[in-house]
Order: sequence, then structure tokens, then C-alpha cells
Amino acid sequence: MPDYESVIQGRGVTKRFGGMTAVNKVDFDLRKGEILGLIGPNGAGKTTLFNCISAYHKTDEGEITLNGRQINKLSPDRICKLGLARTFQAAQNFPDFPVRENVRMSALFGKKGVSYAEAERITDETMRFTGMDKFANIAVNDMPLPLQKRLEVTRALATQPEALMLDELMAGLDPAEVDETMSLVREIRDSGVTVLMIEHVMKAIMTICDRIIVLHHGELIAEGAPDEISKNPQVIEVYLGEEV
Amino acid sequence: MNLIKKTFWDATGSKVQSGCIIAAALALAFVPKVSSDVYTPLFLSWIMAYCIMSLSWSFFSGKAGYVSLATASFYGVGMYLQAILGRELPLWTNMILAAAFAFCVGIVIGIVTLRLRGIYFTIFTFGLTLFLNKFFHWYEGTVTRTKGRMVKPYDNITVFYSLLVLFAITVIAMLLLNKSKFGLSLKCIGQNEDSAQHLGVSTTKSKVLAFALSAAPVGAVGAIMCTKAGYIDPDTAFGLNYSFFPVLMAIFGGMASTYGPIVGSVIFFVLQDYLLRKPDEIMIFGRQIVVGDMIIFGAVMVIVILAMPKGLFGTIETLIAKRRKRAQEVPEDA
Ligand SMILES: Nc1ncnc2c1ncn2[C@@H]1O[C@H](COP(=O)(O)OP(=O)(O)O)[C@@H](O)[C@H]1O
Ligand SMILES: [Mg+2]
Repeated sequence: MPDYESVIQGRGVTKRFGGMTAVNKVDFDLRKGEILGLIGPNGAGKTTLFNCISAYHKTDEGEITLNGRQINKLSPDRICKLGLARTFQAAQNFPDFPVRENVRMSALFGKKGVSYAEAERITDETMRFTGMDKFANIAVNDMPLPLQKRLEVTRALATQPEALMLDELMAGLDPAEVDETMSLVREIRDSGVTVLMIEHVMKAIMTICDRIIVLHHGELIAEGAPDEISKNPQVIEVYLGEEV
Repeated sequence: MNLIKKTFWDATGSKVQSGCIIAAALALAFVPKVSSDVYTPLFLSWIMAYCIMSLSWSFFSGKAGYVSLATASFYGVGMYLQAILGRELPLWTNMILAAAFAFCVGIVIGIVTLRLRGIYFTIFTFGLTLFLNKFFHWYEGTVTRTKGRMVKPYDNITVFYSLLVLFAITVIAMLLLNKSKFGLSLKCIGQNEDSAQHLGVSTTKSKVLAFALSAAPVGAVGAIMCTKAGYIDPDTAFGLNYSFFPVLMAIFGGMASTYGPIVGSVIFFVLQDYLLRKPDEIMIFGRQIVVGDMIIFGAVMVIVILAMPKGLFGTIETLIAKRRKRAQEVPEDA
């Protein structure tokens, strides 16, 4: 018996696009309460793995479970209702709704049987938590990129997830914004949400992650604590001279 | 009485709007009493028929962003149901049956097609109408060995009141549904379906149900209008214009609110009816050309759609909102 409790567990997860295997027999565990980093060069299959977990793609082989329950045959909305939320690498919002209405939709639909009154409360709480409350009535497409990304997180959080998957939340942000986002991710974890995050900003990954897994050409090549990963010869080779 | 009051309040959220709807319905209800000719109620019936169809169309397609060309299918199904059962059952029973039947067809077609996105869905629904047309041709040719069917006629007044009741029910139902979680889920789907689904919206369920619900009133309209046809065959029942007109009317009037398709239908129908009656001859490059209805009509449509992407009603709404805003800003400056 392992000494940890898995929220999400993947075993032999495989996804092919035509003849190309984007994710190849990947085993992973997202442990309750941790921040798990998922890194790897561009095209390594990170987003595809997210897509398999959230059922955006149908997994070709292998099994993914959420709290012991198989989810890779369910639809994305069922998975969301079971407590797993995600963000997209390119923000996906509702352009005709202002910020608050975007968040309210998540609160309303994210869990089964949420009443309008509850949804209002969840919306306000979540927006205050992420600091989006100042932008409640802004049209989403008028917002700069960092705010759009923050809204993306806020919407995911408003579904009241148990685990949250973040896809390159910090890409395109300046150092100050990266710092803000890092502390937001920490606060999310401290509020009891388990986090799985794809990130390229090494400083962020190395500082806030409890553990890291590394994908390369769709295969899992390393797994461990940040300092182990940064010393791993295979990882260093993959990132070829990039400072890890 | 309280229930009615509450329903209106929930549907419109305002006394003015509720009042307008009730006043309009009452005014319409009195038209057959005051008009002496038999033509007016029929004319208004056609307008209401198109209002119901374009409202239904925009309820699903306008919100969810799936352009359906299946309206003629549901209309034709309703027509045939009335043609077959018209002599056995009263009209109101057939209206309910036609609505139920169109709903079921909508469920089946929805389950089959709503996995398709964008243009594929549109083409499929277009094909459905063609298919039903051919199917009934085949059926009548080889099985019943008839050509079309005679229909039990009803008078204009009965048709008028049947449509008025259906129209009222449709408007209230649409207003209520628009505000429900279900209506919101459709709006989310229309804006970003993937995002909606990942945030917990059961997209397939919402789409299939909405598509089927939008079919029901159209089926009932088909059953009613059938009685004015005297004789129907597959080409009258599954005429492609019944698919195209509601779409154009909804776009013309604007789909953002329930009133847009109504405004669009009224103006569209009156305009095309007028132009159909009065083909004028005009001179172009020294030649005399009969400008039939559709040329002017097409030109007007194109201009309106290009100039007002939000439709007539949407544009007017925006103008009013702007003016109000300006009116509020002025005192602050002063
Ligand atoms: N929907 C898709 N169809 C075909 N190929 C895809 C699709 N999504 C991703 N891929 C391919 O799979 C590989 C992994 O992509 P991705 O998971 O986006 O990488 P990462 O997120 O690690 O940068 C890439 O070669 C990409 O081109
Ligand atoms: Mg990616």
C-alpha cells in the first residue's frame, strides 16, 4: 500500500493521432493535496494528456480513475460534476457574457443541483478569492491576457472542484505576474484543491511543485521531487542546456 | 389568477412587458370580431404561423448556434398528421398530437445529428427535409397509390384562434425557458461549446431537448395550416421555404431577444406578400423588366442583414440603450 491517497490515477494512458502516438503508456498519480508539475518540451504530449483526463479526447488505451472511479469513458460534463476542473492553454470563455456572468455559469452548472442563490454566493466568493471581483462587469474580450488567464482559473474554481488542472497558466506573463500567479496556485492548494499544472516557467515549477513528472515524445521519462528532477541526466538532456 | 400573474412575472420580469403581451393578444383576439372580410384573419394567421416558426427556430438555433434547416420537416410532419387524422379527430387534438410527434422526431434526429457540428448539422437537417419529401412521394406512389391527400377544411376564424392560442403559449414558454438554467445552458453552448461542457453543462442533453422542443410548435402549426390547403402533397408539406423563411425572419428581426423573430416575421411576411401581389415593371438599361417579388425582396434582405448584424430589433434596442446612456450622462457633465 502506498502511503498516499490518489485523487487521479492514470495507468497505461495512450492516445494516438493517426499513426502518431502523442501519449504513450503513461502511468501517473495525482496525490491528494499536492501540487504536481507536468513538464516537457513543446509537443511532448502534455496538453494531450490533460485532454485525455478531462475526456476532451477519447483515451485509446489505459485507464484513468478519479477517486477510484474510472472516468475515461465519461463525458467532460460528468467529469466536471465529479469534481475535476481544468483550464485551457488558450483561454476559452463566453465572449457575450461579462466576467461575472462567465463565472456564474460555472457555479450554476459545475455541480449538480446548485440553486440560483447558491450560485450567486459561490460566484462572489470565488471572484473575491482570485481577485476578479474588481472586474465583474468588464467584457471578457476587452481584458488583457493576464486577466483572461485569471478568469479562466476563476471559472474552473467556481465549479467547486476537488482537483484542478492548469494548462500553461503562466505562459506570456511578466515576472511580477508570474509571482502573483504562483501565490494564487499556492492559495488554491491551501484551500484544499489538489493541483496538476503544466508549466514552462521553470522557476515557478521548481518553487511551488511538490513533485514533478516529465513527458518526452509522449512517454514518461522522469518523476520525483523538484531537486531530483533538476539533477536527472535524462531531463537535462531533453532540455538541452536549458537551465533546469 | 395568481398562477397566471406569477407566470407572466417570471417570464417577462416587468409589468410593462407583461401588459404589452396581454394587450397585443387581446387586440389580436378581437380582430375577427371587427373585421368584415374573411381575408384579414387568414392573413394574420399566416403571420402568426411564421412568428411561431421563427421563434421556435431561434430558440434552438439562435442560441445554441446550430443552424437547423429542419423546420420544413416538422411542418410537413404536422401537415400529414392532420391530413390523415383530420376527419377522425378534432383540430386541437391533432395540434397536440402533431406537436408530440414532431417532438419525437426532433429527439431522434437530435440524437443522431447533434454530434455533428457546424455546417454538417445544417446539411443533414436540409437533407432530412429532402428525404421526407422523397419518402412520402415513394410511399404514396407505391404503397397507398395516391397522389397527395384531400384535407378536411376549417374556416378562417377557427384557424385564427387556434394559432393565436399556440402563439401565446409559444411566446410565454420561450420567455420562461430563456430565463431557466436550460436556456442559459443553450446560450453557453452557442458561445463556446467545449468550454460549456467542461464546466458541467450536459451539452448533448441540452441540445437534443432544445431541438426537439423547437420542433413541437412547428408540428402544431403544420397541422393547423394544413386545413387551409384543401389538398396537400409531399411538395406542399415539405416545401423548402418553410425551412428558409423562419431562418431569414429570425436573422432579419434579430435573435438576441424573443421579440426579434416576431418583429422580423411580421415585416418580412407583409413585405413579401405585398411584393408578391404587385409585381411592378421598371426600366433598366432601356429594357422593361418585371421586377417580381423576390428581387426587391432579396435586395432588402441583403441590405438589412449587412447593415444591421443584430437584426432590426437588436439594432433598435442598441440605439435605445445608447440614447438612455447619453441621457444619463448629460446631467453628470452639467
Ligand atoms: N487534435 C490533435 N490532432 C492531431 N494531432 C494533435 C492534436 N493535438 C495534439 N496533437 C499532436 O500531439 C502532439 C502533442 O501535442 P500537445 O499535447 O499539444 O503537446 P504539448 O502540450 O506538450 O506541447 C503534437 O505533436 C501535436 O501536434
Ligand atoms: Mg500544450
